[in-house]
Amino acid sequence: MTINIEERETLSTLILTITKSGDLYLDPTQVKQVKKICKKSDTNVRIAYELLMIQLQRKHAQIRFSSTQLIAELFQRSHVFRELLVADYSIFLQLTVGIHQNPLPPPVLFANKTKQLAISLTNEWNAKYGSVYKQIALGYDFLKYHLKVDFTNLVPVTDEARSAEQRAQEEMTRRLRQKKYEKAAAEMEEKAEDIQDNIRKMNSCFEILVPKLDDEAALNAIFNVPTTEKDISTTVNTAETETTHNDDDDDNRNEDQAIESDNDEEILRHDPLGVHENALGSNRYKLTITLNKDNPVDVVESEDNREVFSTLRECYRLVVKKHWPLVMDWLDILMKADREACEPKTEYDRLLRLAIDLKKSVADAKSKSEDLGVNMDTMYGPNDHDSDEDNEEFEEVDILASRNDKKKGKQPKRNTQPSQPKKPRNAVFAMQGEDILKDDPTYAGGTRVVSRRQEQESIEDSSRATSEVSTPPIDDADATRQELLARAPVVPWDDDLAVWDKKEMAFNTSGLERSHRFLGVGDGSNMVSDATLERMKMRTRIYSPQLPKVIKACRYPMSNGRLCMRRDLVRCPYHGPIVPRDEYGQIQRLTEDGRYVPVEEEDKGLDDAQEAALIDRAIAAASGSSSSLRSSATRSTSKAIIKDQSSWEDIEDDVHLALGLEKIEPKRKRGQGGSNENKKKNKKPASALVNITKPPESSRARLLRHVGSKSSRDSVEQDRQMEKTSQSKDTRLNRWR
Amino acid sequence: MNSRRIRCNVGHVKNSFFQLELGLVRPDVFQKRFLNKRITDIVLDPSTSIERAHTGAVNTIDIEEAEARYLISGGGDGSIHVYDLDESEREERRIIKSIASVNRSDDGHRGGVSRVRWYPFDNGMFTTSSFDSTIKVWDTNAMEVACTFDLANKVYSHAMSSKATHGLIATASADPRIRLCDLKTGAYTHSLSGHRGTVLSVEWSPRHDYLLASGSTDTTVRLWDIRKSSSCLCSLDLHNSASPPLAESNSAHTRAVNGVSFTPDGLYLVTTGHDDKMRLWNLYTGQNTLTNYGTMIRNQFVHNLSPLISPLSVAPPSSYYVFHPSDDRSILMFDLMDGSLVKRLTGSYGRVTALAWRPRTQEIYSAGNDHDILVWSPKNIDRNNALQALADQDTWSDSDSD
Repeated sequence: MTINIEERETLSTLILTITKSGDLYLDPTQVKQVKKICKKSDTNVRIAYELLMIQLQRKHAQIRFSSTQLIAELFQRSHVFRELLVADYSIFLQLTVGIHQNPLPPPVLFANKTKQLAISLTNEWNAKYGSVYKQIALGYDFLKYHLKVDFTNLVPVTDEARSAEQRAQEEMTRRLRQKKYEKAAAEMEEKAEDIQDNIRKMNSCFEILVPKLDDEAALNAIFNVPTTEKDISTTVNTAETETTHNDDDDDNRNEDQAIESDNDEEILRHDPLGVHENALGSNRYKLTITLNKDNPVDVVESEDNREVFSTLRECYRLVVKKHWPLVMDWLDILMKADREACEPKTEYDRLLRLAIDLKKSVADAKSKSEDLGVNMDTMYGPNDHDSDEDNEEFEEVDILASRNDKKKGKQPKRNTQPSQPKKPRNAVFAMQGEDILKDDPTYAGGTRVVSRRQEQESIEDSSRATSEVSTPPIDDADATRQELLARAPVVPWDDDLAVWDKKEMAFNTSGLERSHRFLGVGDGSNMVSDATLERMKMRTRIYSPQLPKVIKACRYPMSNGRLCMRRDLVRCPYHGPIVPRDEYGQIQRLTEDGRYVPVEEEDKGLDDAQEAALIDRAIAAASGSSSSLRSSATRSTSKAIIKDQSSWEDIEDDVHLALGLEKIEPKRKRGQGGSNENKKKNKKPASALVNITKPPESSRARLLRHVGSKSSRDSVEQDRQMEKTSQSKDTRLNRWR
Repeated sequence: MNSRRIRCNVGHVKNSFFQLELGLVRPDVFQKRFLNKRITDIVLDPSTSIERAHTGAVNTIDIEEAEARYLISGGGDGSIHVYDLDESEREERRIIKSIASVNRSDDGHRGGVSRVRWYPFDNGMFTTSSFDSTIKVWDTNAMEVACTFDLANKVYSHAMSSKATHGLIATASADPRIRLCDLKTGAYTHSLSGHRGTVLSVEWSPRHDYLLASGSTDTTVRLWDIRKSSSCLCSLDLHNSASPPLAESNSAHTRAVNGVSFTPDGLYLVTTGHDDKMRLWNLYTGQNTLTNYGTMIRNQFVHNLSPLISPLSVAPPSSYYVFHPSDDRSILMFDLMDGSLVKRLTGSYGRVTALAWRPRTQEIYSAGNDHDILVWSPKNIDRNNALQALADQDTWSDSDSD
């Protein structure tokens, strides 16, 4: 039980810095240091407790919030700390929740946070230690019955509670899956038979409809009788010297009548089809068979097989609507279900195999029937049949045309210029509802008038193009012209090109003297003045700055585990300059060979920046205004200066720099030295604590500041003076002698 | 650390048992030592809780002396509840439920109950006083009013002698006179006049049948012999001045007195008042012992607040502990004779309004204005369940050490 003075000192400074930082989140390294010291001995824990209780009694909600967070950390770990805190638990609740008429100090935002945190902590501690530490249970009851605190929807704050919640969720999903699995298993047992029946039925339909390879009669029917349709088009090319294989194996995988060509010996040996007789089996020829995509099997529905087709359709519909999704669901459930949890395992394996088999056979049957032209579109018979029937009953009429016929007797010819939907004809003065108008037959639409010059140009262009190809220029004048043309800058056409080479320009060349109504007769020169000509040669150019295409994200690792997603040009207002980072947000350095390697922990350039960022955030969160304590300037390193300035002005400068504009120099107030101001600006806020002694800014104060400022008073004075003088003028004016 | 202490305790107990076996200590000394140990070890009992039956503040509680089994509580809402403290005693975690109750809507009190007391000789009867200016005598078995005394003034407290057979109830009410109600006739016998302000507390001496002590807002504490016609014996004086015993200048406290208690042997009187002081008076001489109990006491509410004196005298001979409820939601435990603060019991979330002692198990019951009755019991040294082990262990992560 000896007190290590040195440790005690460090502990007290650490706790002071942590609690006075005013940040929303504690600095993990500092917390770790505190824990490290506290772990050494129980005496240190006691000291920490005393210090924390002192900090907790400060009349500043930010300090209390940080202290509560640190208390939560230590409470979880140290038994001695628990004993100590439990003994004073009502005081703890007084200071953090504000029970017993102890209102929490400002700022209000942090006071509410502290309260919420303490309530959550009480809830979790009660769940864990309530049976051992009666005071916590009593505190929980007190909050529940007297403060009417709702403990139901609290966000877990301690790690354990968080992990427990996660575990519970996992357990729930696992159980859900298990339940689903059991349901699916029962369903499978029930329905697998139905599905297999259906597929068997379909297979028999296929057998009826599609001839088999071993069915000689059918095959002969195909190959000996020339088919009228050009479904199978054969192209015979002159063969090369070597024997060719029909290498497209995929074509003859399922199709029963696809010819399986093998090497010629085999063809010779097994030649049931009499290919030789048809003069096709020769090794000199290459046989390419193209299957009709729409009806690859070449089975047409007719009176004979209508019954079969209708059965097939029925089955197909069943497969598509019911069985296919069902089987996919089963597979999904089985895949997701934990194999270990399913008892017995052999049962699971069997079900899985069954599901896979079913899926395969269902898919097979589905594709086969689609090959036969049975799909959801032809559910009630083939398509062409459908349209024929329609034609019998209804006559297809152009409704629009008939209506117009009735009205006018004839339809005017529409402007059939190809429309360009992306480019409206007149972007600025587009007629409202032009799209609707286009449908109106009476609307002629905006016709494009092709000017003569443009026409000529186009003709010239075409002629030039042809001349370029056919006849290159040969004479001398053309050569120099070509040379000049090569050098000449290509500029888009504008008004100035009309006058760009004119030294002088005449106007009103008619020879008639015109007299202007106001300006009278000209001086007779009829020449445009030099200044005007100069102005006419000028060209309007709209400057479009080249912005970088891709603005990188800051990717600074934030305390919530995400990476900062702000995109700024040069520097993020929160996390400083944007540097390359890896997927964890660690800073990377560019090596000589162009790779990125993570920067070591030693050169931590952003440690202070992080702190400043947190501070800024805390300020913003706390008050919305930047009324921070700028009292002590303990740290004023160069880094601190840099990041203190990374403010709005800096970002503005970045943008200006990127746009190639000049930097905006801030206006300096008169009578204040620049150095003085700089010094003031460079001061780093020691902590993010909100100054609570400053009275909150009221609208009255704001108005007073405006009204009471020297400039406004001056202007008022000026106005009054002016009024006075004008009044005196008026009196003099109206005085008659 | 805690476990070490427990082990230490066990070792000490074992050692004393051994000493007892060897005949080195006398049985009564051993018993006193053991009880002393238990009393000083008193903490909030984590395993026992009393059901929250009252919807308002619990103003007063009392445990009967006959069996030391039943607890009665009176609330600010006028309701009265009776608890059986032996209920499910063997269970690990017990919640004591109210076994009988009377609410305001029944024939109970219209105002808040200010004091409840068991009939000292039998738990078949108890008396209650209320701010609705009545004192009611109840039949416990039927939970019915047997008799009502109307005093026409707010009643702050009442008392029955635990020794005498006269069956008189002394009343402390807003009326300066102390009226005596006779249980035998159901009528008032006579009044004791002398106080000039509201009487906040009365108490019978456990030693003399007819000796009564009372404290009032006129800052005086008076001792009465109810048999005499000029019944006031003396008015205690805080300065021990040589003035006559009934002098007007005598005052026991500088402000109102709201609690008087006799020691169990009847030799001393403890009084407490709004001057945040507790005083110990020697009844043989009627003098202030000038024991200093420090400045921890907070006592500012106008209601009866009696300090609790542990009824057993522990070693060294004739030394008591006194428990004083303080307004800062704690109970202060003093050594009666030398005034040193032994322990401060914290944990209540409301102001502690009354205390009751259960001699058999050396437990204290405290009533609070947060609607709760708490149980304070000697720390159970053999309590060694898993939960305690969980709470006792440190859970530093390994990463904290480097």
